[in-house]
Amino acid sequence: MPKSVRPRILVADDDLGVIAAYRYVLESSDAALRSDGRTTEEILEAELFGKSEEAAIPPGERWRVTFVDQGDDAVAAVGASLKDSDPYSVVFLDIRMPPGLDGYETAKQIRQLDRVVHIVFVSGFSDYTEQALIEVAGPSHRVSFLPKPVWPLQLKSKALAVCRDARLVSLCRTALGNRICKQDPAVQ
Amino acid sequence: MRIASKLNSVMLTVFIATALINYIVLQKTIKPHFDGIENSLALVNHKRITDALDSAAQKVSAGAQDWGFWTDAYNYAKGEDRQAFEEANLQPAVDVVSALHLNAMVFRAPDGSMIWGEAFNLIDKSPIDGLAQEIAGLGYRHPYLDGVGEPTAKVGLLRTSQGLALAAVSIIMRTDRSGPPAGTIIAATLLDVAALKSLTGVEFSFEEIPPTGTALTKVPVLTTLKDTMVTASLIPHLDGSPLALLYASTPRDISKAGTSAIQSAIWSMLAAAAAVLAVLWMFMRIIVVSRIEALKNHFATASSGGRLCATDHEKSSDEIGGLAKSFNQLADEVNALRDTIAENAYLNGMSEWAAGTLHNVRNGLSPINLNALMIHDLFNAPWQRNVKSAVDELRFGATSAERGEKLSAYIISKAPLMVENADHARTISGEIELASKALEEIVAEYERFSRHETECEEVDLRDMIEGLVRTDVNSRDPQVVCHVAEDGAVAAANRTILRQILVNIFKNAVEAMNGQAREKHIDVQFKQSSPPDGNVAILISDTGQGIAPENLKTIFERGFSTRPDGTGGLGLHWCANASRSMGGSLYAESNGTGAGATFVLTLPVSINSLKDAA
Repeated sequence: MPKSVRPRILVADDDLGVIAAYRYVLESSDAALRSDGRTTEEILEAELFGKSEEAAIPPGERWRVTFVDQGDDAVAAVGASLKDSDPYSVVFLDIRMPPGLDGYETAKQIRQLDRVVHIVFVSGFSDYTEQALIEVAGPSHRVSFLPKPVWPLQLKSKALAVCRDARLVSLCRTALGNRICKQDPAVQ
Repeated sequence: MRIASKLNSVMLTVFIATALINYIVLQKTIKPHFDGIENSLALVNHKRITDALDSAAQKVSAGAQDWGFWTDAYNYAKGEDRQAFEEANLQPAVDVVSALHLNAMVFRAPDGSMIWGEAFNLIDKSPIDGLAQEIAGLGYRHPYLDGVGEPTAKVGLLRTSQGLALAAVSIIMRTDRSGPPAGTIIAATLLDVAALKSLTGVEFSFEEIPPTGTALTKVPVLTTLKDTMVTASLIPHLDGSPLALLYASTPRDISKAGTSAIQSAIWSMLAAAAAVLAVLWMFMRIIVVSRIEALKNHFATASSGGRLCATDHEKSSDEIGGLAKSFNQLADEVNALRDTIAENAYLNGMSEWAAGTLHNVRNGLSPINLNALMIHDLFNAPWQRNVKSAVDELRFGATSAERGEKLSAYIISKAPLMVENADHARTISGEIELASKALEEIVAEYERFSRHETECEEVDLRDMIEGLVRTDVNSRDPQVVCHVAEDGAVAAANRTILRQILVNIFKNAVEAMNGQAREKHIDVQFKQSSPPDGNVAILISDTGQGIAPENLKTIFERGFSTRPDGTGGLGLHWCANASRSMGGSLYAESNGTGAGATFVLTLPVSINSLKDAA
C-alpha cells in the first residue's frame, strides 16, 4: 500500500527547458500546499469577495515529482520505489537522453521491473515507431505518447488521467487483494 | 592449386603417358618382329649345321660310290687279283684315303668281313689304329645286298672311338651296275666340329642321348634363353637309329638390337615430346598463365586505393581479354555504386542532422510554451479579477464609504504584486526572446551545414576544440579530464562541418569511457605533416574501451555510425566522408579492446592547400 495518497511521478529528460515546464505544471500544486496560514490581505479579500480559489487545489492535482536526466537514473529510481513499496504511478520519458540509455532501452528495463507503472513517451523526434515502443513498454493501455514541444496544459491533463487510472488500480489492489490482481491480466 | 602448377602437372602427365604408350606399342608391335627374326635365324643356323653335315656326307658318299661302282673294284671284291689291285690302286693307302678327304676307307665282303681297310689322320697323315677295323665291324648292312632298294650309297653318322664320323656305305658293283653286289665300300671322315663351326659360323655341340631317351626328332626345337636361342634336334645313326643330340646356340643379338632400337625410338620420341611440350608450355605460359596471373595480381590490388581500378588486359580479343573487359565493366559499376553509397551516406547524415534539428527545435519551443503559459497565469489569477472588480466598483458602483476604503486598501495591497507581475512578465518575455533566438540559431546552423560545399575558411583548431571541450565534454561528463596541446594549429575547413566532426569524435570518446572505473582522459595533439605536404593532423586520444583491430576500418563504414545526439550528431561514416570533402581524412588507431583509441583527423593547412587537394 502506498505511503501517501499523493501519486508519485517520475520525469526523465535531459533538456532544462522541458524540465522547467514539467516543474511549473507538476510542482506548482505542491508549492501551493506548502503555503502558510491566511494573511491580512487574504482575510480582507475574503471579506470583500468571498473565499479565495487559490487555496482550493484539487486532490488529484497533488503529486510527488522526481526529476532525472539520464535513463539509467530513471531505472534506478523505479527500482528504489518498488523496494520502498512506494511505486511511481507514471513515468514521463524522453527518447533521446545521451550519453546513456535512450528512452527505448530505459522503458524496456523499467517494464521489466514494474509491470504496472504507466509510461508516457515524450519526444521531439523519435528514432522508434510507436509500435516498437509499445512492444518493449507495453501492454498498450499502460503506454501513452506526448509530442514535444511540451504544452503544459496537455501535460497536466495527461498526468491527471494517468494518475487517476493508477489510483483505481491501487484501490483495486487494496480492495480485492494483490493476489487476485496479479492473476487478472486485465488488472495487470 | 595454381593454374601454372596444373599446367605443369598436365604436361608431365602427358609426357609420362606418351612414354608409356610408346613403350607399350613398340613392345607389342615391333619387338615380336625382332623376336620372330631371331627365331628364324636360330632355325636357319641349325639347318646350316645339318646342311653342312649333309653336304659333307654327300662328299663322302661321292667318294665311296666312285670306288663302288668300278668293275676293277668289283673284281677285287670278288677276290680276283687282289694283290695286283691293291698294288695298283690302294698303294700308298694314305694317299688313296686322303685323296678323297677321308679318314678311313674299308672294303667289306657281303658277309661283312673286311677285305681291305685303312684309316689315317688327315692332318699329319699318321695311321689311326683300329679305326678301319672298327668301321668294318659296323653292324649296318646295305639293304641292296639283300635285294632291297636301290644301290645308292647310304650316308649317315656313326660313333667311333675317335668320335663321330660321317660315313657312306656304297655297294660294290660293276661300272655298268650289272651283276650281283660284290660287297660294300665304307668311306668315313671324322667329324671336324671346329671346322664345321668355322664353316657354318654357328656354335653347336653333339650331346649323348640320355639313358631315358629323348623326345627330340630331326625337326629342331627352339628354346629361348636370356642371351641365346638354343635349337636342338636328333641326329640319327647311319642305320637310322638315334645317334646324338645336336644343340645349336644362336646369340640373341637381334632381340638385343631390337630392344636397343625400341629404347632409342622411345628416347627419341620422348625427346621430341619433351621439346613439343616445352614449346607448348612456354606458349601456354605466355598466352594464358602469365596473363591470368597478371589479372589475378591486378584483382588482388585493384581495390587497395578505395576504388576498383580498371585493367588494361581487355585489349586482346580472346577469352582472357573478355574476362578483363567484364571486370572493367564491373569495376565501373562498383565504383559508381560506391559513389552512390557515399552520397547516400552523406544524405543520410543530412537527414540525421535534420532529425536532430527537429528534435532541438521542438525542445526549444517547450520553454516558449511554458513562458507563454506563465504570463497567462500571471495575469489570470483570481486576485487580479478581484482587483478589477474593486476598481470597477469604485469607479462605477454605488458603494459605501467603509466598503470603498476597504476596496482601496485592497487595491493598494495588491499594487506591489501587480508591479511584481509586470516585472516578472518582462523577464519572461525576455526569456521568450532568448529562446526564439536559440531556435533561430539551430535552424541557421542547419542551413549553413546544408551549404557546406562552398564555404571554407581558416580555423583556429585550438580555439574551436577548447570551446567544444567546455560545451560537449565537460557538460556530458564532468569526470572527463581534457588536455589540449599548447601549440595550436590552423586548418582550412568549413567551420560548421569541422565542428560537427569534432563534436562526434568527442561524443564517441566520452561514450567510450562511460561507466568505467579508471580515470577518464582525453588528450588532443596537433601535428604538422613531415615532410610538409600542407596538412595538419588532430590526434584525439581517449582512455576508453578501445577498438578491436578488425573494427578499425569498419567503424567508418555505414552501419557503424553512432546514435545521433541531441545536437544532430553524425556517424563516423559521415565524418569520414565530410573530412574527405574538405581535402582531409579520418582514421582511428587503437591497441585493442580496453586500450583506448586515437582518432586522427587530417586537414589542409591553408586554403591553397585545400585547393591543391581538390
